[in-house]
Amino acid sequence: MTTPPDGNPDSNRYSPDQFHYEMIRSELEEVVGQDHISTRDADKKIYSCDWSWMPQMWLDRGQPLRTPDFIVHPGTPEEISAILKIANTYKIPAIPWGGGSGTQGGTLPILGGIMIDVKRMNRLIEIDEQSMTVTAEAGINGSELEMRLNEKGLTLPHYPASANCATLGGYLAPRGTGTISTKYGKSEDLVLSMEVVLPDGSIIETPPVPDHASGPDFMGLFLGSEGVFGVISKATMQIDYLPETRLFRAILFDDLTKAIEAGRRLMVRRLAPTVIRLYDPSSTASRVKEILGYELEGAYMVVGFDGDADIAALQEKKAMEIFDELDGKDLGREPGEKWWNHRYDFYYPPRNLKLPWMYGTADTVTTFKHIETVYYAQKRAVEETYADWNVRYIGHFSHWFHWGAAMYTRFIIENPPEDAREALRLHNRVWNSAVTASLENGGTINEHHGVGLKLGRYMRRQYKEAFPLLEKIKHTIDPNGIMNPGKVGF
Amino acid sequence: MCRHLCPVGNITHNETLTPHGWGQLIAMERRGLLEWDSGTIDALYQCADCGNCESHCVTDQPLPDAIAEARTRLASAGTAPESVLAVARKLDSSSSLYNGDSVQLPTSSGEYALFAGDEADHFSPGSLEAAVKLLNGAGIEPILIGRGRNDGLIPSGLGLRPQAKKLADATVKDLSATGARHLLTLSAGSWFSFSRIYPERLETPLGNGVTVTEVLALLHEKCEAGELALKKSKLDKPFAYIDPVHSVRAENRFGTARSVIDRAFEGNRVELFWRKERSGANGHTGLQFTHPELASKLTRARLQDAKEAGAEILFCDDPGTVGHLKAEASGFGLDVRCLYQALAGQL
Repeated sequence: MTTPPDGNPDSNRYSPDQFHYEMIRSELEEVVGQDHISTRDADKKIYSCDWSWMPQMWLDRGQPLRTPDFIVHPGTPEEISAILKIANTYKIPAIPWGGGSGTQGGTLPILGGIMIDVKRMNRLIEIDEQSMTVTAEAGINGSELEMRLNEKGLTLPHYPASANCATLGGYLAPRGTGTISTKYGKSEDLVLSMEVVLPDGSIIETPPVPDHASGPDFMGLFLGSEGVFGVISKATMQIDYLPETRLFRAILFDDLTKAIEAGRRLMVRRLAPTVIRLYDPSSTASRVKEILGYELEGAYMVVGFDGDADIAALQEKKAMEIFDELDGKDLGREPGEKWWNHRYDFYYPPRNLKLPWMYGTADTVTTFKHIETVYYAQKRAVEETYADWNVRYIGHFSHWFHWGAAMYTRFIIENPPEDAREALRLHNRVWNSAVTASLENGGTINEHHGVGLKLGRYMRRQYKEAFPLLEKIKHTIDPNGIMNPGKVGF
Repeated sequence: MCRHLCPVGNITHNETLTPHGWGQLIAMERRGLLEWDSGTIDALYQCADCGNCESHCVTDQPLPDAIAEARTRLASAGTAPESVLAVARKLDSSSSLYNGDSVQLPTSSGEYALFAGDEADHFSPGSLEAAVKLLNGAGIEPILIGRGRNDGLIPSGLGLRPQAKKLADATVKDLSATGARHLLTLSAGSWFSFSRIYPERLETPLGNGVTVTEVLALLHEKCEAGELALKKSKLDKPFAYIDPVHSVRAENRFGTARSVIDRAFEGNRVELFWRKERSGANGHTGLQFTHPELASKLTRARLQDAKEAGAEILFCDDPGTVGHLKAEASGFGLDVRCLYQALAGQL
């Protein structure tokens, strides 16, 4: 729908669309109460943009964005249910919003509609210290949840850079990853069960535990769905004790291949590193130098172990033997600890990538067999195709699995076109090159930022003949297509 | 990325009413994408100016200054909310936000000046006298200045720069008249006002070599040095210290406040969840004038936090915070006590 131009409630003369608009507003207000609905211009504008480069650039160039028509703050899953029924009645979009920290445009209200901000649903329902789980409503802030767990010596071992603003629901919806996922897993590995409000208003719960033989992985349907299959309203997560110790070291390799092999050996020997952060030579020369102050040539790796002090020390000792076998130079603890203490500085001003620069994070994941192929294919595709723009391509290998690793690769153009439309087109072209290189060499279109609006156009290429099946599921769950339209390829 | 510590954002759950939202509003207005109309101005004035965002900013962005600057432009243009313009009118004819104008000029001189302000007598009668008694117990005879005059922090935050500047000029003049080298404050807010707002935002430095110290910090120092002795009493109910508004803007005060309490009282001292570096604002901010209902919600949230922590007695030094907490405390079954008065009883 289109917000009436004459939407001023103080005006005595309304536009023809105002009747329709006021009908919907009235119904929504009945559901959430007048204190929890907004059609204020200020609110609409703030909810028009997330953290992704595209809308940020658009605003930075002085261009307006499409805004939601209504912003609602439901307090219960029943209220979300009623809101979605209204959206279905009027066939208008409904977009879930958590912390707004997504980088893929996953919450942009590109067709207007109802923005459902779930942050009012922020209760911590239960900490079960026997089962080591926490149950909370989806709108709880990530850092607040962590602080409350820390009060009891516990932790939800999901440490994304966005934790200060992201919500629990936002951790799960795009299958997010945190800094220590290599040991503890991605958000999807930490969740036991979820409550989800489906587009038709049904409130469902997934089975109480994720590991069972009681049918297909039904919960998996909603992990990574980014609001296109419903609204996550509650989740139970696995928690851990805060570790007795955290050990970090930095290792320098003169050869990226050997560095990747070192990471692989750590993983396949199940040494359970908390983190392996491997910067490629370009990142080592630029980002590591800028942020940590080390002027080094080669591939800079930080490795960490945590838990009981004696076990972590032994794991580290075994790791050091592997690094030695592969000519890794031990830089000692201080550079590793410095990285840990400054790990988020990479993503925040003044050290982050910022406008008016053009940048993008083409993170992907693949098996060890393909990891270098994907890396070099992406690097070539970006650097050679956009050499005229003096593009820089940097990356690190950030999240490791028993079978492979995630690449966090970035392209940077310091002097992009000034015109917003030209800049957007160039941005999309660079993305096309990077994602195509990933897909053609065994990678995926994304590892942990999600699909959102930005990568939706690649979903069909990612899933090939399986994508129509996803479309059928979408149509079955959401026949009117109200849920977060334009995202995740739907 | 300080959103998790924004007390207003945590109460309203509204993205606009967070450091991110206020920053975006200001940026959008500069880019010509938004106009300051009644809605956007109202949103801009819902920031409590508590300083949590700046204190936790990984980018060292002076967002409170940017908000104050935007508000100053609105107030100068006469387009600030009527509640703000009413505060301006009051300060044009008075030095106090709360009472009539009864400021007396200092008539003596000394090493220490204590800024009495307009909050202690209004919100927590007896607290000023108790603070003086404690200082006397530590061998300090402070010269009272500015009794009945606001410290300028709230007016400055509301964008009332001329009024705040007038208050600052008067206080600096008084201070100069006493010849004091140490300016003592009853609250973290006043400490911040004199230390940062006066020299930086209002371009009114206190004078060469003048130090600003919270009374509580000085009492702590004197206790540590053995120059102030407090009797210790046992409290039979769980008690807590509540970090007052602007605590995050002051220096090293979290341990200091608790240390002084521990010298005077024993028993079950509990901690609130929203404490120390993450302590949230209560209603004692500019919101009490612009958005009293929101201010009250902030106060009630602090009391709820205290209740959930199991506290039954709450101590606080800042008179304004004490007043706001006391006004709502009965609904939570909490006994709010002025820390200065409580400590003075232990001399």
